Amino acid sequence: MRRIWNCYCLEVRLLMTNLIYWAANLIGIAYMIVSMAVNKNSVLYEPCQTLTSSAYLVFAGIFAFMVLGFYMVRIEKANYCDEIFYSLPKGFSSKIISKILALITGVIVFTLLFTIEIYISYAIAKVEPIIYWKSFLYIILYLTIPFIICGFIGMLLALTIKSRASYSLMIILWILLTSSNELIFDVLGGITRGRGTKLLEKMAFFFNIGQTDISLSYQNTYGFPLEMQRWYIKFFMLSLLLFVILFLVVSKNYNKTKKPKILITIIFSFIIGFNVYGFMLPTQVLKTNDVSENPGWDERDYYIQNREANYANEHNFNIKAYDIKLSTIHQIKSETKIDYIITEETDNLVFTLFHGFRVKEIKNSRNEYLDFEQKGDQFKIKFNSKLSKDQEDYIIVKYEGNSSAYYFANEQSVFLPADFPWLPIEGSYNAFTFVDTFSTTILTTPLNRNKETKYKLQYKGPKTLCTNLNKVNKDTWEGTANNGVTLVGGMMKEKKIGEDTIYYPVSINNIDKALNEYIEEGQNIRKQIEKDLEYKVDNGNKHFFVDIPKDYFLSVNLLNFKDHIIIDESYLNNVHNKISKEYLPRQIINSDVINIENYSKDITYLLGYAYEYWYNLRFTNIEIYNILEDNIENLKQLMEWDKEDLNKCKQIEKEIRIRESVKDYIDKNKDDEKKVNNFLKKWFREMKDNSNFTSDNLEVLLNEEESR
Amino acid sequence: MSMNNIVIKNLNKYYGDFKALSNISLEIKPGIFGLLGPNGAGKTTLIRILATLLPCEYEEMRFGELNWRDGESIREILGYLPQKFSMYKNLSVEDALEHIAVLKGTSNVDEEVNRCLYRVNLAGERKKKIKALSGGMLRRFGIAQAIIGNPKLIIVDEPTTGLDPEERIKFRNLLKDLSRDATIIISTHIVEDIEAICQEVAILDKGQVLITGTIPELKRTAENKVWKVKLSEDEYRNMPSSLETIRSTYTDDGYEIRLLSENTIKRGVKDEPTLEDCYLYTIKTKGHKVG
Repeated sequence: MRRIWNCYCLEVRLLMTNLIYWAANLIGIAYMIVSMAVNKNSVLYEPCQTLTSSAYLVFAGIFAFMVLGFYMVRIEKANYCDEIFYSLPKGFSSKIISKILALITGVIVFTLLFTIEIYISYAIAKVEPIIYWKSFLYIILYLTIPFIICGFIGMLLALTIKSRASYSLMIILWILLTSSNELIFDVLGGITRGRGTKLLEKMAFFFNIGQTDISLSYQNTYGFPLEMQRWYIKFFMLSLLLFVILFLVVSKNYNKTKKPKILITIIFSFIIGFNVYGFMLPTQVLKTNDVSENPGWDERDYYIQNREANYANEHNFNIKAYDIKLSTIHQIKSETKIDYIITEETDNLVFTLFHGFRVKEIKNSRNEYLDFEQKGDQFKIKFNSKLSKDQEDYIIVKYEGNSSAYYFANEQSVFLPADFPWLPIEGSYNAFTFVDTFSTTILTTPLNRNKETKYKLQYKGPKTLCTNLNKVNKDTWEGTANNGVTLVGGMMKEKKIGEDTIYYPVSINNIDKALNEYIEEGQNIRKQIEKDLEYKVDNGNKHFFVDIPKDYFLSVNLLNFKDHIIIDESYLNNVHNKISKEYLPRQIINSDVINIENYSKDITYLLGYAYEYWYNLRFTNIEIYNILEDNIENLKQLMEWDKEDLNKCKQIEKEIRIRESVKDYIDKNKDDEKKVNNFLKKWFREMKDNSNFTSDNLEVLLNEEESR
Repeated sequence: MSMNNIVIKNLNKYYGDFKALSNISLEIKPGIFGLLGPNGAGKTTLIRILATLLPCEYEEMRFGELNWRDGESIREILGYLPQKFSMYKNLSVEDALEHIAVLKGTSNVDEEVNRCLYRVNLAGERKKKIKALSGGMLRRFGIAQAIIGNPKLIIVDEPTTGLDPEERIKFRNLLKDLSRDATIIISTHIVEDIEAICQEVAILDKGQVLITGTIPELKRTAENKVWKVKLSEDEYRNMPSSLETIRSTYTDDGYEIRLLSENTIKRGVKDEPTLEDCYLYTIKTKGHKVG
């Protein structure tokens, strides 16, 4: 120990008097200071973004610390004293072990300076204590451990490769170990002509020890990506590298003695085995890219292949109550008791449950196992005898698996909206719908059941949990809801304004004024809609601000489940501490019109656009918020892109024409408020009454109104 | 066979397909042992093997009861000064020696460092940084680090290369002094160094030991082969190139030439062979056979 300690002190002394090390440190720290100075607003209002923007620094740091590790091993060679040390008793092992410790010290010094810098910015922004803790973990996961890993790699290269090939290898490894490794795997994907893409993606994810996407902005709802798998991968790499280095050291020092080698192999086999076990556990949802902007490709591919539900929709039972035991650690595990009542005699019941969850067993009230068949997003229970009308009973369904890349649930964060079938619901539907119209996309099917149901939830997962149910005790929630249960767990915060409760991500900083404004303006807009369209806007008094996955053209930024609403957090413009109220009218309307039958029709959304245009024409600056015109321009652009697809162009042309007609009508009659309101009111009612309402119906309606 | 001898039997070293050392067998007695040979003969390879830095194949390799199979036991009694040597540039002489003393497991570090500094006459330079040392000082520092902990085996590779004559003499004396307590193996291509301090010598060429023995024994191998002849300037210029000239000295009467020859040289006088004569004779005769 005395030897190692003395070597360690010397190595640290050499490191701390090394100008290049300090120059690299200062460049890193200066980069963060400059980026904070340039983005002052980000420091104050998006403090977590300040930290994730360090991805570029990590990218450079991975190379810098690899070079440092390499240099630390080669320093004796450069000073012509390597042979002296390696001919001393335990000289090689003492030197290498002390270098490992010195490298770790060097990394810790750097990350400590970095942490202090970040914490100062947090203190200025007055962030919540949880952000300090999560940031600490983030720094360990994305700076400290990766820098140690690449330092070890540099050391290993210096120990094993004597030629100059090691320099080129360092650059190749730099690419492989950062997000730029996609370049390598894209090329490999090209060579394999798309075969094994999933495996290549997994490999790219595995080898990237920095941030998954260097340009990815901070996801307020998801928080810092700190999933267990990322830790396992990094600890696996760390322990494997440490094992190889120590094995080399022992082999060199005790080249003919087996005992130390066996000892090291046994110890590290346990450590590496543990990490491999952790890594091999069933994969959880990893929010590896910005799915809010780019839909999860897995879902897209799946719903292109599976456009229809697997069973007929028989409406033969209703669910009266759920008693849910739910864990979202690693992946979802649920044991749910479902009380049902039969509405039509049947010998089978079909439920909808997202296909990522696999049903393990189903028992009836007599504790007997029931036969079932799970296909895609549905499972069917077959009973031995007929279930008669009005018969009431319960089943217990055990299922587990991964939720969607859109709607995640793991130990990191949870976002399971009420219209996503994370709970088995009656009927046969697909969780998502592939829409192959002029704006090809997939959308969440709005599975609003509209049936009063009792819920009891016992939850184990990321704290804090926000839900439309009422908290009974530490881990239990209860309540009655018509349209399902929303769960949002993780770095969330609660604020009460009058009767309303707002749940929003902790990371949205300095937002009090905007939240007050949201409640006030939201009420004003709702009142105006109620007045204009003569209907009651009912959205309860629980408001969840989360990051709703958005599709390119048909953005759904507000989901109304009557007892609570989910609204996209981008509406909170915390840089200006205000709400982007101009877009609210459309969202409120859309959330009321959209239902499972008309969901995929673009025409559904046009009403929202039209009303928003009409609202902003009267109450805000239409030059800035002319959504209808923007929408027409977008469609023209789309037509330009797809000009070779004549059928599609024809369809888009029709959509443009109808939008222009609506806009012309509103423009022409803007001084006659009653007339425009009347037109919109009729349109709204017809859409609510007729799920097959099309562009043609709208044209007829327009013509009728024009002729008045 | 003394228990303090170093015994090497059938040592072979390969670099890939290249055989760098071939069937080396030596018995090195306490004192100073010289490894002599031209550049590329395999001296440094053998030295590095002895310093436990390179693995190799051998039938037997031991120092008394210590075996090279247990490298750590050899390192415990080893002091090594490689051919190309320096230390961390910004460390002081004292700090660097302290570091090595700790690594060698020395119990009283300060005392030992002091002793070594005085022994190599570097006590006045203890605070100097390594980068500020002259070539001679650096070599002395090299010896200082090698003798820390009183090693029983000291190995020095080309220790006098680049030293001026005065430093070289000092260095030889230092090694002679150290040989009282340790076995010293010195590798060099400078015959003068070997002749001045070694008791026994092995001549290596092309990875093989050509000859080994005491210096008088080696000298005897070249007996009756060394000739001295005086030539005029004209004769010297027209001298046949086939004659193996060892040395030529310009005198008032022309040139005094020292030659190696198996045959009688006309007007030549037999001379007492030196180690250099023996070395050149051995390389010329046995070395060619090896090649």
